[in-house]
Amino acid sequence: MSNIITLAHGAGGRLTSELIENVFSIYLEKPLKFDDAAVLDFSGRENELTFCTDVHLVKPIFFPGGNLSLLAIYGTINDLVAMGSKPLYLTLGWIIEEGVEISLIKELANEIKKASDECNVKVVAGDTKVVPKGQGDGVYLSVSGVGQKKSTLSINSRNIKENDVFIITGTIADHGCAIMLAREDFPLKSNIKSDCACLDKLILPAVERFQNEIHAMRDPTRGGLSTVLNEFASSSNICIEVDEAKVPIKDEIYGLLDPLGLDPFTMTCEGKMLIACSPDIAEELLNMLKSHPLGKDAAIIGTATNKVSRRVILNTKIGGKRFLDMPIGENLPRIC
Amino acid sequence: MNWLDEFKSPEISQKILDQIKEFDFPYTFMEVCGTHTVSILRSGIKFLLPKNIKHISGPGCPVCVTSQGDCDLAILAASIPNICITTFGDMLKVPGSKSNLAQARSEGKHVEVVYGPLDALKYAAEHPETEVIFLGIGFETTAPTIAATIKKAKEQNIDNFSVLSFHKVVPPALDALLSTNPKIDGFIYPGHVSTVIGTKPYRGILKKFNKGGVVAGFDPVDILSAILELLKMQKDNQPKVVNNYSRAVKDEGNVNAMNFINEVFVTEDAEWRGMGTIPNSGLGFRDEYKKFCAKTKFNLKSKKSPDPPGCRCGEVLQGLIEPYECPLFGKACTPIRPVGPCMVSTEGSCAAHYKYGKI
Repeated sequence: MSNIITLAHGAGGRLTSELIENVFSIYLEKPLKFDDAAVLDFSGRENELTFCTDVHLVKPIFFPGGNLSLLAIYGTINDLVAMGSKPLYLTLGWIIEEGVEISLIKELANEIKKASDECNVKVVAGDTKVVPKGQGDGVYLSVSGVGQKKSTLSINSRNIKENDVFIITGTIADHGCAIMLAREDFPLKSNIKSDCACLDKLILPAVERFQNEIHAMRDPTRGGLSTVLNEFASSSNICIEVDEAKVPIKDEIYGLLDPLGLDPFTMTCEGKMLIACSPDIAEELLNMLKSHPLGKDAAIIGTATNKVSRRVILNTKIGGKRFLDMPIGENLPRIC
Repeated sequence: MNWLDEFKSPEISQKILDQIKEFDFPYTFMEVCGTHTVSILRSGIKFLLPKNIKHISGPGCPVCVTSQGDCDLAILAASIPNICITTFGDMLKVPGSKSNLAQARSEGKHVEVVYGPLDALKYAAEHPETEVIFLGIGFETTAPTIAATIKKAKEQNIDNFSVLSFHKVVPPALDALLSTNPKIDGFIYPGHVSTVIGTKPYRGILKKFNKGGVVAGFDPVDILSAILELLKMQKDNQPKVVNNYSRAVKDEGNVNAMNFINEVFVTEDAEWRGMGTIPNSGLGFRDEYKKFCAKTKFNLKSKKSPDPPGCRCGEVLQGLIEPYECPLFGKACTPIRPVGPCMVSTEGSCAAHYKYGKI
């Protein structure tokens, strides 16, 4: 492991995993390892509390399809939903750089209000810190969330079994591409929008209906779909085989990423869920997801096998096979 | 299906593969370009080919062939007070003998990632108090835009801008390759480079070594049909230069782009990582543009730096061994902690083999 933190440690790929395993796991008792939210143990109760926390920063703060506030609120809610829990309460931590205009904070606060109302969650506490000019980068937003789930539910990344089926609830890479394009220094422009969305209304009815036939869920954010698939394979000690042709990717996303040498599997999503479920319910679950606007592009993309333990195999469009690995660090366009 | 989709078509790919399987003689081809390397492994072509066809990757990743001494020079330049190093993102991770630019940035050196040299020039114009050095990495593909940027800097009198030129040109490297590895039966020539240089330089290679090649695009159908073409010319014992990428490549290349290169740069000997010094394979500055040469401006001199112990990247780059045959591959040398250059860039053959693997 490198002696210093580099930007790649925050990119959600292999180095982020190493930081969690080699530092946080050693110094912190039972950290939030490989799941999106912790289940708080209140033994014997019908319902359990779930709890999660996340820090959000994005440049630019407003981008096509979303903004920092929506990312932060939706992202926290989606982490709770990924455990099959209903989001209830949120707390906010603001880190604001000296010199930021109050009108921007008002605008962000208003977006938080809209998002939390939409998702029927309450913001119950918060904290604000201002750092001197030059010691921050505009606005950072830390959000923690509390949810509630049935204690009988056991949805987690260690639960995936051989023959399980993997469903992605829609197209991948939209958010990562939208942010890349929105940055002032990026020379191309297009109409690609972030997929930033709150997934409670898409996912929770499915959890209610299929209960423990859903074995694991995770929203692929930083590090993209390939990171989540690899974390699932590793946590459940299985092989995941994915069919490239079945993974929904918009044509314009291909058109953007292909010439740059960037892989859509490693690009960030903000409104999608990867679900591992029993093969018995896969088609029924898929149809249920497809009936909701946020799941209209949902697709079955792969299965769990015992071929190469803890690895993800991609069956390519032309009939080849190769590993699908986690990204190593930052996504960087190739030179030529 | 639109015409671009045809180049990705699984059905057409399968038909070509079936034809490839009808040739039963042994054949070794090398793809020179890193983007081809990635495409061949990412699409699974490498392991779909019949066993009699051996595929090897060449020195076509501009990052991989940048010498350790040149990387040290870039890091040294970043240490000069009031200097901002601007670079394509790929270069951040390439190791010098002790560090890399990403680490230099983490330690507080001023390193900015840009998407192109014009962004670097714009940065220089907006920050006249800072000396901006752009790292000129790449083959004939990137050299024209960098040359055009240098011309613009001269026209606009932007004096705080300079380029550290580590450019390489491809044809002399092919000559050097065939001199050391006679087992190469034919090349898939680099698509991007060929858009600039055209197909004529490859005719010289054909004449000198009697080895043919096919200029190809980067989709599976492009690559498979290039392999089929190579097999046909081998069977007929008629090596030739074929342009299978005519939708992007003209035989005469891009004359305007070559004019930019020739106006600003002049060929000079260059150090290729793992391959040593290849005569006339680099691009230095013509006298009229010398004031934009960062080496001259800041008196920077490359030092030769030996490859790390045990690293066999030189042999990988020349197609003499497969990445798996290096004892460090996947053990001491991984993309997180690369020992050799082929494991650094996403387009390096070791990194591509490590990432996409042999299942």
